[in-house]
Amino acid sequence: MGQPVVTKAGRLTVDELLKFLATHCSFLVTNPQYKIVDSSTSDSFGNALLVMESGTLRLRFTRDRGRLLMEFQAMDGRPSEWFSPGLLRGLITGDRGGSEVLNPGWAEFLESALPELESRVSDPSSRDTTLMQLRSQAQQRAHDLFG
Amino acid sequence: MSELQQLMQLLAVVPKGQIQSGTALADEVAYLTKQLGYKWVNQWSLRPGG
Repeated sequence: MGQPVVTKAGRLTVDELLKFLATHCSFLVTNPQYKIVDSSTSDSFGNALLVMESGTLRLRFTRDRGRLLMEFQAMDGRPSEWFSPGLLRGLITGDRGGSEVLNPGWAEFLESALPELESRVSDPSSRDTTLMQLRSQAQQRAHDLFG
Repeated sequence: MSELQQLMQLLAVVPKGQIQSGTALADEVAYLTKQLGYKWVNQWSLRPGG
């Protein structure tokens, strides 16, 4: 049985995710709690995926049709349920911001907000409330985006 | 809207609540809902006119 073939184009798309992490997310790369646990590429649209985990959170970075995105989920939450930085920003500051396509500004926000998110999700007394508030933010975002 | 569009029910690859602002998918779904009159039926599907 052969190994999966990763094309040069596929490597380049993962490289783009890694470069963003190295350039703007050193707080993750140098954090011993977070490890890269998965990555994959697709020839379709040059999409790519990179997953990091701590004991509390799973972070999923994707390159989707040329745009870099990030989502997170609680390690012991619903496997199919992912939340985005905008929802977290809405929860913490009351303002979800605009486009959630990753840029240095979103990286700065994540650096400042991740400790609070980790704290809320790791504490059983606040985890469920936090997840419910994130779901509420998601409902409001969908309403704002699509009516 | 064409007859074909009137018949088409579309399934999203991401549920409504997880579509992020600024993504290509958000742009495409916003075009369907705001320009072509599609309505969400549930978290995963849209159809013309609700």
